[in-house]
Amino acid sequence: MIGPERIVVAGASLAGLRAAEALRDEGFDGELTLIGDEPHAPYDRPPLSKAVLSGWLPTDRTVLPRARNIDARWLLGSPATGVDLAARRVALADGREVPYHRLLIATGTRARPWPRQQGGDLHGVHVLRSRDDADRLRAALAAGPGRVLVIGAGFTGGEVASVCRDLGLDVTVTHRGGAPLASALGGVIGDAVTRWYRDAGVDLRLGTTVRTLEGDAHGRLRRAVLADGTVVEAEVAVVAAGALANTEWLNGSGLAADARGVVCDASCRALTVDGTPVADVFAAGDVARWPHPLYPGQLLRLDHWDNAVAQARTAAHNMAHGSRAPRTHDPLPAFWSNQFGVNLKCVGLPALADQVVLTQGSLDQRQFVAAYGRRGRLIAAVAVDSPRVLDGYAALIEAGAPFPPVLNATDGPGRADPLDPAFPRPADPAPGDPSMPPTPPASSAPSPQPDPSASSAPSVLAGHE
Amino acid sequence: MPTDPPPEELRLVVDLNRCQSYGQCVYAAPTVFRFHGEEALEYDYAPDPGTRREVERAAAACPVQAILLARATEPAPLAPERAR
Ligand SMILES: Cc1cc2nc3c(=O)[nH]c(=O)nc-3n(C[C@H](O)[C@H](O)[C@H](O)COP(=O)(O)OP(=O)(O)OC[C@H]3O[C@@H](n4cnc5c(N)ncnc54)[C@H](O)[C@@H]3O)c2cc1C
Ligand code: SF4
Repeated sequence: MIGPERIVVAGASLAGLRAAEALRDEGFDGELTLIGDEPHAPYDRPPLSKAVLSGWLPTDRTVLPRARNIDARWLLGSPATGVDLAARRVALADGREVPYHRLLIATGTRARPWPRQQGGDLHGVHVLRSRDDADRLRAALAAGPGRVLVIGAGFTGGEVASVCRDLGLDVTVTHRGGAPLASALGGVIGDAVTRWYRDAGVDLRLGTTVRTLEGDAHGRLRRAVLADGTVVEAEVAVVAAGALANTEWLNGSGLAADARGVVCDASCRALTVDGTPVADVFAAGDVARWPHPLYPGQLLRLDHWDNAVAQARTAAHNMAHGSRAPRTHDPLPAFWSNQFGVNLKCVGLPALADQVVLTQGSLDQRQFVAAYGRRGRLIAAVAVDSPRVLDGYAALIEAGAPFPPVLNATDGPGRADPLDPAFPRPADPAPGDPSMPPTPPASSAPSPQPDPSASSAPSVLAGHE
Repeated sequence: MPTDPPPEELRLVVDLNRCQSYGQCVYAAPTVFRFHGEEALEYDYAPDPGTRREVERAAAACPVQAILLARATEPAPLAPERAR
């Protein structure tokens, strides 16, 4: 085939591995190199906050299957530290330089750390993103702490809190908003989720933030002081307050990249700071922000498994075939979460909705489906312990079906009664609060100042955080 | 195409977006797949090689083809010693 001779993939995780496999499936027969900063072969992250923390699955049994031979050179445990777009070279931390004809950026995100000056350095303060994080947190939970503090009631926070209750541990969860998951699913569904927390015995503190974490003379976490002045005694804290894109290594490269992600076009090509697509640099997975045709006028970053797999395939196709037949990355967003004994699945982007309606079940039961609408169209659906109905909703959303949808479900409420979904209004960030819009951590090198044309478009971050 | 000898290691992943919790895999390979609660599937990504037949049956039985079994015969990638 006529095509690139050397492809380099930076980030050897879900998106990187699936892209490498897809490149070979697409007929790429040149030199393929995978660069990963973690020392581990690609593994799956979703079980880390579920089956791993509960103790059912050790982390060495979360390794991803390799769907085919890819005949690649694996550079694991070697962080990429820079890219020279003109010379087409990636620099590694150990001083090596790896040349490429095409480069895929798949370096994902990391958990937003707790600020050092507010107790982030104390022993007992955890984040959960990597296999090593999960091993450390699992060991801390297995030791039977008196109380665990979870900071943030997003998806990861809820999953961690739920596992802690399964393990019989006392848990306090703090959340800045009025209900868990409210920024992703709205306050109407969030109120139902609040009941799951409380029924499970979680001490849920809403509308508050943690001011500082405090330790003892040995540097071990002992308590948290909340914004309202109350004190929570805890020996373990899990910071689940959002994610930052791993883009520092792109600083100074000329690419439009910051803590929100790498900006790319709909065919996964990375953009420079002036908004020009770079023909031979692509991005996929949690690190990518791109204009989705279904959601015009904004840049989307979807921190979900399904998106990493799909975007990797699209990027691989476009990398293997150049610009001859570029594919557009325009999947319907989809993700799942398991917490408090329920399976939650979502299609579409609820956060953009102006109305929500319950279409099956009831919010008091832990089995229901809610449909979300925007300007009279169905745009998203959430199914709780009802995984079999979602394909039908996905088809309706893709067909541009009207809202409220006409479903004639046998277990539907007698009358469709659309409500305001109650998404939180953007609030002023509290000083030092880590759950607010991404700014690069103070410790990192300064971010490039991307030109407004490329990255000042409004952002939608739909994260599994 | 020549058929490669099956790799020693057994590796799998389930696309849990696609999974509709039909539970066929749980019947076929109960030590590998299980439900947590009513509808949340959990599974072992690297089950004992002795369960291969069961796992292959589970993958074949899944009505939505959500179970991916590894087909690579190459050795697993390793980090060089000094990188650790
Ligand atoms: C605890 C947890 C639970 C989750 N649960 C769900 C769920 O239930 N459902 C769902 O849909 N999604 C879930 N997700 C999200 C899902 O795991 C991610 O969307 C997915 O991992 C994204 O894959 P990725 O390859 O794009 O990025 P990542 O998995 O983040 O991989 C990026 C890789 O690049 C590496 N890297 C970073 N910088 C460099 C560098 N400079 N050089 C070399 N390598 C580098 C990173 O260390 C990492 O290994 C969960 C995530 C977490 C953390
Ligand atoms: S058989 Fe398939 S759909 Fe059913 S539970 Fe197993 S993976 Fe899910």
